[in-house]
Amino acid sequence: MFEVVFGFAAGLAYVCSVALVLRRTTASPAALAIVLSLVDYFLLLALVLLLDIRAAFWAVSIAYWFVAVSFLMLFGAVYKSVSLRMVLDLYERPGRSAPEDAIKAGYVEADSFEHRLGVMLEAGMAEQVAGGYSLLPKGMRVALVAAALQKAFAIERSG
Amino acid sequence: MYAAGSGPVVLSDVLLGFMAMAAATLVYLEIWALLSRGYTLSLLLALLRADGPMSPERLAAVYRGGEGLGWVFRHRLSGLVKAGLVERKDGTLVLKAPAGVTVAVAYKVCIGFLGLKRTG
Repeated sequence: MFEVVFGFAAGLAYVCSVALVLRRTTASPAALAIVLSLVDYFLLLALVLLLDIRAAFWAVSIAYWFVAVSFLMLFGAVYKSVSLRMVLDLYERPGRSAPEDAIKAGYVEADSFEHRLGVMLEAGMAEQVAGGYSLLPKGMRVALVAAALQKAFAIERSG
Repeated sequence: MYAAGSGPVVLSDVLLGFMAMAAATLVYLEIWALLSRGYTLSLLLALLRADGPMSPERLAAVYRGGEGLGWVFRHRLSGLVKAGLVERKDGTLVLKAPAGVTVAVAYKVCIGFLGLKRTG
């Protein structure tokens, strides 16, 4: 049971480290959360070896990654979910209500859409040219891999 | 460190088995969710299937195989209504209490804890 508690505690430390580092950097939050999960895991292993803690490797690893993966799932929802953002938008409006068109036009079709276009440009996946937006080689590779995976998973369309 | 050995099954073995299966399932679900619900990914795929550069208006129109950006709104809203978080009343969306309000507050707390400057 020691390994479960130890790995779980290390996972919680990882969650706190993400919260701390996110406040001190402008790097991509999603990339940061993923990189930190690996960095913290190797720090955990180094700590176990340095302090000569007797702990079963697989048990500690499973407990740590269970917390880390659960957190990454939650993080993805908090960071990118359109549905949750709509809920928060409604919560912050007077009477906790708004016309459907206002949410649709103001958030989904303007704010969120423009944000996604900005993400593609910042990530170097697309560029703005005379006729609008065009894929760069990196975006082409990502799109081709996604299209192949969608075919493998039998997912016809995304969105 | 030492490798896990054989012996009678104890509570920690059961917990670890659950955690391993849950983590693997979550990884699968995360990939599946990205592929099936990815907003940015869908924009990239629309650009991939286009003949040339696309204006923002055209991109919005051909989004998700021609269903347009309105599909995102309809799809997400129907999920929120089915989950009992939001109610539709004559063209107005109303956040339901306590479920919708609880989710909104929890979401706000998570954003605050993580220090995220931008979401959605």
